[in-house]
Amino acid sequence: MTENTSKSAVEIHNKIKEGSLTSVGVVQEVFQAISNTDSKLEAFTEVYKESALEAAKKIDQQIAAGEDPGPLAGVPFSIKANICSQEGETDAASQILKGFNSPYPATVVNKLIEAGGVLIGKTNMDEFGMGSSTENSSKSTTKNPWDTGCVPGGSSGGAASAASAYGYIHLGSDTGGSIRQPSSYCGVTGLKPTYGRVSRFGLLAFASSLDQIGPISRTAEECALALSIISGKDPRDSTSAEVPHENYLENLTTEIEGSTLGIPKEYFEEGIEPEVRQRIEETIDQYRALGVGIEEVSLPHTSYANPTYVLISAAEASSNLSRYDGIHYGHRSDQSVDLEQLYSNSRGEGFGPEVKRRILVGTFVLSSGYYDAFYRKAMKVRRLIRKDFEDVFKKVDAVICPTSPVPAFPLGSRLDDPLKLYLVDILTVSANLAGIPGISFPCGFTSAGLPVGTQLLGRPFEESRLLSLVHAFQSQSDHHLRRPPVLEGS
Amino acid sequence: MSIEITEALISHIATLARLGLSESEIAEIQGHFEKVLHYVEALDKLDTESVDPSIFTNDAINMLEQDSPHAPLGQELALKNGPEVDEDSFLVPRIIAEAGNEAGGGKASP
Amino acid sequence: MAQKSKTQSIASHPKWEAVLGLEVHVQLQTQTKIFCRCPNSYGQSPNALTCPTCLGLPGALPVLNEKVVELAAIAGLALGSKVAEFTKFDRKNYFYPDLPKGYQISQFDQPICEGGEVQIQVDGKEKTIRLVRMHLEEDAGKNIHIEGKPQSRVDLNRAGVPLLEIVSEPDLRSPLEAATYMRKLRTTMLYLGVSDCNMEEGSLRCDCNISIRPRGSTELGTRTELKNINSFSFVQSACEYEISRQIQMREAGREIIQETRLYDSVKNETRSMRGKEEAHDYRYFPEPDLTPVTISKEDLNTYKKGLPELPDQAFERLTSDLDLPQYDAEVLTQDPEVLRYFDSCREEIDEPKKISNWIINDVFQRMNEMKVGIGSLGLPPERLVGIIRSVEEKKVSVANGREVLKKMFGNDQPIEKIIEEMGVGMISDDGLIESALAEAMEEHPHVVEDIKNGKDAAKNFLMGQVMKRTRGKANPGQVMKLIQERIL
Repeated sequence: MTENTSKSAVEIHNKIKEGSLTSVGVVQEVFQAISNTDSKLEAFTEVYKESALEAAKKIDQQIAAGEDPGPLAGVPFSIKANICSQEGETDAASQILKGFNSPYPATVVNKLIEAGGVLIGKTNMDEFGMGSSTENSSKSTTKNPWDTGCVPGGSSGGAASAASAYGYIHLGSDTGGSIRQPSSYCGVTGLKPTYGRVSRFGLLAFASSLDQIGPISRTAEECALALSIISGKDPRDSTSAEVPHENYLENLTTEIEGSTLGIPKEYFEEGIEPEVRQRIEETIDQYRALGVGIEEVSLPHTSYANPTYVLISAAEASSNLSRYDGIHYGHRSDQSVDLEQLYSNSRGEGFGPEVKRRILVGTFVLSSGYYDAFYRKAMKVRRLIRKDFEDVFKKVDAVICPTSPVPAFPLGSRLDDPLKLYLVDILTVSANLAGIPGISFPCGFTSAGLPVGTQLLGRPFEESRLLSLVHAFQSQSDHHLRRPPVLEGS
Repeated sequence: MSIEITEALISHIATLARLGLSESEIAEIQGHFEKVLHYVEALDKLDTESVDPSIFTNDAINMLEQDSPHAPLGQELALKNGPEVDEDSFLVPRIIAEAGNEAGGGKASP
Repeated sequence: MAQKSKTQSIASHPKWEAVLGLEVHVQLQTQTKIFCRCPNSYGQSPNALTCPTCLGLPGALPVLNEKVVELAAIAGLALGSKVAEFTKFDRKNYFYPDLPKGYQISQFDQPICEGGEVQIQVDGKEKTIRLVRMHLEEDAGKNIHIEGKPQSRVDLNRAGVPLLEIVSEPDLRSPLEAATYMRKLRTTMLYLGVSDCNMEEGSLRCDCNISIRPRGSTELGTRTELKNINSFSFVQSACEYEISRQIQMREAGREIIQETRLYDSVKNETRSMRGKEEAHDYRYFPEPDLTPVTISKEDLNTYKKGLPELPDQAFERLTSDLDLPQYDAEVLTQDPEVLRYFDSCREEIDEPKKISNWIINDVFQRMNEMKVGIGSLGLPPERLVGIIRSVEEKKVSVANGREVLKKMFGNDQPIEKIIEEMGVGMISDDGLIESALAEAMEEHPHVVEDIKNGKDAAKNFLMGQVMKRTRGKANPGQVMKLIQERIL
């Protein structure tokens, strides 16, 4: 492990700004770390060494000239492979977009670059975000830095694995837990903002009503820095919310005494591995010690959340992925004599098995005769799930629960049964259905040395509170400071 | 809602989704459908008769934009990623001409 | 099967009655597309007017153009629809190369307008056609077949152009009613400034739902749908063909199949698209990328106050207030540009009938020759008024005045100068007229006798002779006065 990749992005930024470090040096160092370790992790699908060093050089020149290159000046960041950049390919780890070069960047990429951030590459993911292990990728299988025989989680597994191994800021996207669950598996901090807090313009849609971009980093502080930059109303995303801009980094506090956390009893009922349960209970005790009120609450419709999620996300995905048809961009089958064959062959060849399954389920639940029984029903249950949270947030400021019922599982162990894989999402999907913010942070390890993540879910647009709750915890604990064994000997 | 998941149903859905499937894929998907539908059957237990569907994730309304033009991307960038293009258009296998001169005529779908 | 020659009019068919409903698509007149700010403009180089959103690129999102909401609400108010307080968009899913996202953003169960009606007049009878709804949606691009090649071209410039789809109840009973209804919608949209309704450019198109039933029956028969008809005459001929095809089917004891058919204007027939439909199920669901839209009472009141005069009101004004014949009023109110021109003329000179005559006879002739609108003739209203005045003031005769007008299009020389150059200025010089009259009287002594004997018609003959000798330039009043003085 190199010296600077162990420091936080906030610290690095300050050093670059005051001139004790150069951005070029920092960027070179991170590329060195990637070249040392990433053959073992395969977290990155692409790195942009040349353009990153050029950008870093400019930042250094600006600083030398006394200019302010922005709040992220010189800090390396990466984006998940489903976020558009003009640099390289944007393919969402799908064959169907092999070679696709976006003619425009996502709003979040623009914002980070304008803030002085240096884009170093794209991270691996489950194809179009569909998966919880980053094994459904056309690119590679990303490994968990804590045990390279285990999955990093998914779908933002590349981003979480990279955050754990290399530090800095890695943007992921979260449709049903895709930021939080891999963050928990890789021992890092990942925030899914409130729906509408961050622009989705330039994010390849999986399920439009659930998708949200968010940061994955080692600490809440770094997430706060990133969120301050990427959040805000975007005129190009109608669903981005018109709420005042916040400086989450400045808002960060360890003064959390007097807050109340709710323990939703339904989240602890079944299927939680004992070691995971223990770590969460220890975390709750620590919060108690920090002066936080703890009370049991009920989210009665919790068990319906995952089936609801399965239906809604598939339905929206079936429509969102219709644009990948081999006509205007992406893979076109050469086995086609007419238009109908072109469609079905291009899509049949281009999409992986899990994406096909979800497209078909989604097409089915929207189709004539089944819409009311499945899609409409799910939208109604979604209302009940949202209502559960509205009621609970009248009593408590946030709820606390495990991020995933299990820690990282061995590669390949859940591939044979897609449904079994869906079950690792049961504790994360509710936040997406309700549109509320959620954060996962490291709260300890299993006896096998795998990280365990705690999840906090908060009221809409109360990211500041969640970040402070985690920040306060992190200032009293060192789980986030432990470095994964993959770095040893690198 | 009890539904028999037949191969014919899977084929029909695959046609709607324009998704070419091999025979083994159809069989696999058939099994998957059965599991998923069984899994979501849990929702049937809930009485949602008087519940309004939750259509929008947040309360945002009237996100509109003024009617003033921005510069388009332009022909070259528009066609850049096209798998088959000529000097100004995307090319597709011949579409049987409908309604006279113009194939498809736009609004109409076949 | 069905005859191609025009069959007996369905309106008077003894046994069968036709039932037609129209879905009219109107392209809205905006600067930009409905969900992106690419220019809404026709006739540009293919794919030049595109951006990530209308190309359906990965990650791109739609943002609704506020102008389309306003235009749709205005159209709704003008047609007596209930404009929704809350409206939302839905996705209509289908695959076609001109639809880059694989779905069309449209409105399904909460359209912007519901109800409303359109008054039409056919064979002198007033009829009310009820509307079901109007909804907003995006237009698709164009697939263009390349002659002699195994490929088609796709141009997405039109993808995302705003459309208002106006759906009528099945209240129409004949192809003529259908065409009349479509014309009336066109005129109304033009008045409102909602659309340029340019049919050659496809700004106004329609789908026709057609069924027949035994006269006296109140049940609806199985219907067929004719897609994408883009002219008034095609609406009429396509419906005529389809109705007679259905009658022949039924009379041969065969069932009508519910299907979409295409009208081939070259062969004048409709063809089945059978076999393609089973692959479609539009799977409508709410568009999650757009927010719903609310329209406030205040906004509606503002739009209502701003509503312009509508064709029926203009007709009423022209016939009742200005005493114009029905024919004149009908012709002048067809096109709001013409009506505005007429009204501008009236501000200068209060002679509605004279202005109408000049416009309907002389100005229209020029418009037809040039195939342009009244505004593009190079004849501002005050210039038309100028020539009308010149005739009134006896500076030129009516007949010569019409010749002078022909020289005035695109020509801003003073009218007097044109008259002078043409040598057609009216002669009021007694000496010149007198000498011409003297010549005529000498040549036609029996006419002079006839006049003396009280034959008034003979005066006109003599007048004609004077006109001939003055090349039509003599002031007719003065000629008549001199005839009286010299002969009686």
